[in-house]
Amino acid sequence: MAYTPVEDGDSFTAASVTSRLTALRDDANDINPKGIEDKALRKEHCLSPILQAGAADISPGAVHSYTFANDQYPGYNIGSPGWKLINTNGDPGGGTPLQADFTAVDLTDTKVIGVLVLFNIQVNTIVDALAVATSREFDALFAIQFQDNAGTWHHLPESETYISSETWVNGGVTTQARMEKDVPIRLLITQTNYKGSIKSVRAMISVNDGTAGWAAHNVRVQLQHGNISAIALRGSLQ
Amino acid sequence: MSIKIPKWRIRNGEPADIEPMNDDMEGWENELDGKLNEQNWVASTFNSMTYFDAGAFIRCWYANVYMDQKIQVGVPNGTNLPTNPFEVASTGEWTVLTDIGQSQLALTGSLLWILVNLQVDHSIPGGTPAGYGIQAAIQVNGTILAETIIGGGDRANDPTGEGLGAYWSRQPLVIDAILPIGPDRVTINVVVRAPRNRTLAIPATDDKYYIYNRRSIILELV
Repeated sequence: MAYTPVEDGDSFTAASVTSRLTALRDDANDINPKGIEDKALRKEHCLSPILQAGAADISPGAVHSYTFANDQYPGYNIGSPGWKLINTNGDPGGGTPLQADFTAVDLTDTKVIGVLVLFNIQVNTIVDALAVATSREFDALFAIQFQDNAGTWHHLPESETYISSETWVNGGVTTQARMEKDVPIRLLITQTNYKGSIKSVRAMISVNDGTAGWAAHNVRVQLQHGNISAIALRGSLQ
Repeated sequence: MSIKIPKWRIRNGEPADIEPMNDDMEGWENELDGKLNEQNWVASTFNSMTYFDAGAFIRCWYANVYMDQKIQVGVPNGTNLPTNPFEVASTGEWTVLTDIGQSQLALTGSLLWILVNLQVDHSIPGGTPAGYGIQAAIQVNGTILAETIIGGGDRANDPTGEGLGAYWSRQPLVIDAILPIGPDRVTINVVVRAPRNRTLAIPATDDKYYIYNRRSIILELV
């Protein structure tokens, strides 16, 4: 203890009082672990490691469809056109979108890791909508895009992810297999991707047809349930 | 303060008495000397990042390898290989995806959230796939975590083989794991392999699986 009790006969002056108060102040300025009880800090006292978060999910009763004719894959790292925002209406658009919004996060903040994106979509079928062709070379491609604080959308090339159609032979007849598969994407959006603030992420789809010289056909991808989460993390990127 | 301080109040007209004054002062001193608890902090005391070093929160290791995966209209997948694909060995042995691993992480007793995301592709131009698929897993200090292995470990459950996408596989996969780790230097890797198919056949030399885009995210939660 730094405090010296006042004894009988001690002078009680401004200097002596100030000296004792100064000792208390110094103690307050030098609190060490012994000065704090176990569990002295509770959840209410501290910041969450989650700076901001947003999420969206869709669970329509029916599938939503996207076709090669309308959403042809534009090629690597080309954000638009060709990519369609996944929504419960499919190609026509206007349905509930897979887009997660959150209070803008500055990716250049040295105490922000970035935005962790978790995305899943259920792919039901990848088939020829005209029922003419069967192939393993039909692809559904997915990507994540983010929106900066000014409202501009940015495409993330590393997020481009695809799943191909499947066929099976039944009684000598090749049939387009039903997929019923989950397509997941996990990634971080950091200041390497954008030096500024971002406020939304969204899930996009496009369709590819790897076949050539076949009868006219139109690849169609049917999706159903999906979700996307964006979690801005406090901390340090090592 | 969580205790009543001051115990004694000096009132107008009363002479200063050293006993109550010492009692009051020592109350403050005792508090600062070891009794600070949750009631000493205003709820929002530390609600500013100003007070924290970034390392006080989550530490993150992120490896992200990506490329033009050569998806093209009118071109079958696997025909034009991208630059920097990872070819999965057809020997059945586990192989480390070295470019998304993390070596010698200095951990002080942590809970890790490990996320792995791989794009799998399959190339067999003009042929029929042997149908072995792939398996992937998280490896910590050289030991594969069995519960993270993607694909079947028991072919009794899947007569087409142990691998994911045993017949045909162009699809992404994700592995998540929450892992408590003691104080140590820890190396975390992602491993892949092509297990045998139902006939235990060795794949043809042009029947190959690849990993294109690939990334690992390791979050030290506490």
